[in-house]
Amino acid sequence: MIEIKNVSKTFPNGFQVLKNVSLRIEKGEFFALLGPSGCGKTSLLRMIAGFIYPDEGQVLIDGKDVSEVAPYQRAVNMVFQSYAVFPHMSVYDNIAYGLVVDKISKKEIANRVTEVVQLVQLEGLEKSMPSQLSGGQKQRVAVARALAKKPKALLLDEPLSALDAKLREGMRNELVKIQKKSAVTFVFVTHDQSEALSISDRLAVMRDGDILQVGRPYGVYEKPETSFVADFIGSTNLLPARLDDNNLVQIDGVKGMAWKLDHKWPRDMYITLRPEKVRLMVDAVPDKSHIMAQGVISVLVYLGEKTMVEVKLASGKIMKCSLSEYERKTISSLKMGKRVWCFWDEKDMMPLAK
Amino acid sequence: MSKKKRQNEPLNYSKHILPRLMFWFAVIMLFFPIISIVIYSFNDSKRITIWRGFTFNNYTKAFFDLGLREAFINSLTIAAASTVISLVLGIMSAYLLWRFRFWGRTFYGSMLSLPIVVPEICMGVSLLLFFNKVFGGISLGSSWPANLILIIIAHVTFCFPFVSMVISARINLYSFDQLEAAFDLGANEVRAFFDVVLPFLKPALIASAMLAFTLSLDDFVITFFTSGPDSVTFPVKVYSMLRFSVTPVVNAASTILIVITVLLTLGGMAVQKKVLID
Repeated sequence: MIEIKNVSKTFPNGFQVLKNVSLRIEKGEFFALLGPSGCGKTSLLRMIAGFIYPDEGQVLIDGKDVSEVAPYQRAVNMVFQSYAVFPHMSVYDNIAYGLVVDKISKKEIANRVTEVVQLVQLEGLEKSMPSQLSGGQKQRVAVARALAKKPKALLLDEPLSALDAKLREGMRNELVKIQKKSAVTFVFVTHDQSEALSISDRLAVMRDGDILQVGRPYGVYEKPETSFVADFIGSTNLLPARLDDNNLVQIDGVKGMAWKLDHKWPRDMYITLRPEKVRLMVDAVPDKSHIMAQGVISVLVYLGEKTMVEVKLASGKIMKCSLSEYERKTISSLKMGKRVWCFWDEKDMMPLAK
Repeated sequence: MSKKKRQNEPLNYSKHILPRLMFWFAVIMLFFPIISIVIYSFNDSKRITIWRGFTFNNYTKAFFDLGLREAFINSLTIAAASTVISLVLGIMSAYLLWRFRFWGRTFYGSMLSLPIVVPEICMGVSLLLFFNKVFGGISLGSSWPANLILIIIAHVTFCFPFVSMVISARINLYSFDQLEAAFDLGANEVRAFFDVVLPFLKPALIASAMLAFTLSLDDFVITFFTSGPDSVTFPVKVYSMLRFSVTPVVNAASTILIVITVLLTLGGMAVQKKVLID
């Protein structure tokens, strides 16, 4: 278990990279740190590894304060973005390195190397040199090398970013398998939201040195707490809205709203609505039970398994709408410039403070 | 388009008479003296300028000349010792400049190469004065190899900057991730240095060792100022032999020095190519 308690860090150049961050990562979890570049996610990971020390606050591993402990004395291991496989050592020597440093018996080393080589599926390549390996294989060496030390947590810094798209997907599933089999806590840094959603048990969304939201992928996606999270995780429609005197939500140009929020919400706010929740109707008016808005199709992008449609509403606002292939086929005349009704249900909307 | 392309091609010098003349003039001026020394080292004559037939006698004579042999052993010892010391200092200074940020770092880095630009004669004189002041009253001993210590110190002062420069060029290509990975896997600073940094520096170490060895072996000016009557090196000995008589034995001795130097330089160049790649 890893605990980050009120950690702050300012770099010598004056850039405050972490602002009073607190976080708890449970044992055996696959945890993702997600955010745009410069949000402090890598710094937080490096702080857990011991490469940077916090100015304030504490880092605890299994309840022990390691804030001031050097990286080589910490029971966590890291997989670097560049893999950092030692070029002058064979695959076997690379994986065994951490164990040799720990002065473990030769026999035990051989056993453990065999074990992790099987885990990451590098059988038969033990004698190869890194220059003979592909990017994916080097990555496996880096993972195996770190896992051989039986760490309390494995820290992965954007491990998939250097791989090409096809390989990335395979390696993503592979990492999940390795994590489940080894039952080691994985902390995974990424800027790719789909990667974080698909791979992690829980994730933290970061921005400007702050953690904005922590939760399960489903929860964060369905119930974003800020407009940044709503927009960063997946794509969303952010509609400016206001509460009237009866606490009813009002959105310009939208009909059929009878949505009452409690008085704690501010008068000016946002409503977020996922594109895949918005449906379209071309030549008829939707049923009165739905919430709806009329507009003109301004963008139409066919993506294979889905079609992205942008509808310019009468209010001037753009409504993004994602149609599945099945939905698209039920609508006959989908064309640019066509007048359409967008419609959705009350339960699909989420209120957000501005 | 094709006309423009042609302009960017290098000029074909064989079509022009002047560059060809200049090329051969330069080659002859550079190598003729050396080649004539090599040829005349096989000359079967007491006089250096008249060719009397082929022989290996001069090499045998050179080999059995006790003074020459002692000077040769001195030179090899000095070169080996100053190479090792320069390597250790060079590695330490390059690592310091790469690994740490400290006040005056740039200044320190440029001071390292100062001995390269200071004229050798100035280095020689200043070392002579320095050694007289510091070691003037104390005898370091006249027995071998204690009598070579001052020359070794002097040689380190001009070998070390070259070594440091070559190693710095290599270490600046090193990825910090590698070092951090070693730390992460449990190696401390010292262990990580020997396990992952030093192997990376290997081509630079070989290249700079050969460079330092050649520089030390060849040096005359600085050695001349710092050597005593009982600590003569090969180039100094050759010079003193010349003052008595110019014999073909001197040619033979010089040829040996040339061959060693050329071999070491070629070896160094072959490895040096690897310093800045991979």
